[in-house]
Amino acid sequence: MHEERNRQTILIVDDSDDIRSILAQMLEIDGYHVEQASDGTEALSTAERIRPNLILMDLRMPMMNGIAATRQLHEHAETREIPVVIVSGLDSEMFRDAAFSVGCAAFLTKPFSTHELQDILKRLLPQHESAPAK
Amino acid sequence: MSHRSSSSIKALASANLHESGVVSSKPVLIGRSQLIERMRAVIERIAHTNSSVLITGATGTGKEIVARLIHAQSNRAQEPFVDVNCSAIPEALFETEFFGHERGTFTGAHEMRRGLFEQCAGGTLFLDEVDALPLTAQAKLLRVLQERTLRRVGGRENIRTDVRIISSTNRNLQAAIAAGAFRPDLFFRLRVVPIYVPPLAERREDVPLLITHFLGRHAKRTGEKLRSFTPKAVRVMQDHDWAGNVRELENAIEFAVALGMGEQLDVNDLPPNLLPGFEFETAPLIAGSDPSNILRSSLAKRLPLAEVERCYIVAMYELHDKHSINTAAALGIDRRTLYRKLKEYGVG
Ligand SMILES: Nc1ncnc2c1ncn2[C@@H]1O[C@H](COP(=O)(O)OP(=O)(O)OP(=O)(O)O)[C@@H](O)[C@H]1O
Ligand SMILES: [Mg+2]
Repeated sequence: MHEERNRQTILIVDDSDDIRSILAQMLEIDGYHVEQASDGTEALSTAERIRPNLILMDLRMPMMNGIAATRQLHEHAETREIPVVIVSGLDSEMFRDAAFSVGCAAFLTKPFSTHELQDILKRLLPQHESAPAK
Repeated sequence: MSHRSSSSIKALASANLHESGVVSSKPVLIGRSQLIERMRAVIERIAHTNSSVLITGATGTGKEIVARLIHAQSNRAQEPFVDVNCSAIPEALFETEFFGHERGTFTGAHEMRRGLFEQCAGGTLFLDEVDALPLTAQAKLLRVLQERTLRRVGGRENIRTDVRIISSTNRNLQAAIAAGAFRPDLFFRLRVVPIYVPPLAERREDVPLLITHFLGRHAKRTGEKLRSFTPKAVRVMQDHDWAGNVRELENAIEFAVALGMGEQLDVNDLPPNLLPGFEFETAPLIAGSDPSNILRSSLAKRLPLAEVERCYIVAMYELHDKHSINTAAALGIDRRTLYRKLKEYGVG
């Protein structure tokens, strides 16, 4: 199907199964294709393999935190252009500064509304391709 | 604490005076380096005297800890330690704040109020960021220090003062004197005992001790299990230049214990700017980044102005759904200028 091929892929990285599935539901309703990873290291290998259009990244995770993972994604030519949105319950200047210093595109604090997430995606993803199947 | 009659002064005072009265917890000065040991010896030698102390040193080096430590080791330890940030006191309020006022002196002065000097009678007054005192305030302060008496605003009575003054600054006061911004006579009166707190980079051997101290304090405060760093992470911290000194180290450890989940915290758990070879991400900001984040991230990355302009223009263009007329209007520039710039940036 034409729409299927044009669908954009979002990689959700979070160590909480619940958060991953809630986010996945939100995104699938909007027509995105969703992939998941449950820690920073897995995020790196998955991102390299599937080259998502965007990554939603938790901060506090086992193996590798979201800041370190974002930094490494941006050190590799294959993944450096992928926008990373930090999605975290931790909010402070310290984490925001660190996130932006490694090149993340946006910082979203939990809890957030569907609307806030949609706004960010709309801004970061080229719209002509993302047209949710409708 | 005396009764406050004016609500604006009340708000000001509660914002400025972190602590008044007997110091709650004993200040801990960590460090075994020669520089710190030498400083500790000076503190021990002068704590019992009433001499004024001027503490200098870069931001985050521990000047406030030194001030509290001097007080805690002095004969005044059971008396108040009053901490006032001079940069937070408006010039117009200096006199009433420091010396108090009599009842009925001005509108709202329904009652007599004692100033900082009287509030910490017998104790220590800590003038933090003393360089921020305006010249008029410097003159008034100097007079009280010379005469050892003060008059409340609107008062006639000379009240004897008994206060030990400790001041601190991270500025070069000699330069301020040369520039006419600080009174030399006040400087010499404040600096009977000068104490210089060296930057952390000059006492790297203290870094591991400080790390252990902050990790222990975190565990105690939160009830979490005590964690440690890998030797490699410790080495990275020991090699870092610590422009923000001990405060930056303290924050780095807060960062690591918040983000790291392992038993042992590793290099990856440290703030990214500590990592060897780290350079602030120089890749172009991703088009469509939130314009409100651009300033923040540009600052974090120390971007040149031209780059900030590029990011901002591209972000605004995306925000306006690539509508050039609207974008140009929002930016307040000519549409042709916008075209030219977009073309320069390779955006279209
Ligand atoms: N030697 C030390 N041992 C333990 N903690 C320290 C030491 N030096 C500094 N700290 C801690 O580092 C932080 C900064 O110290 P402090 O506030 O005394 O710095 P400062 O020199 O007054 O900085 P500023 O000029 O920015 O006011 C504080 O949380 C303090 O507890
Ligand atoms: Mg200070």
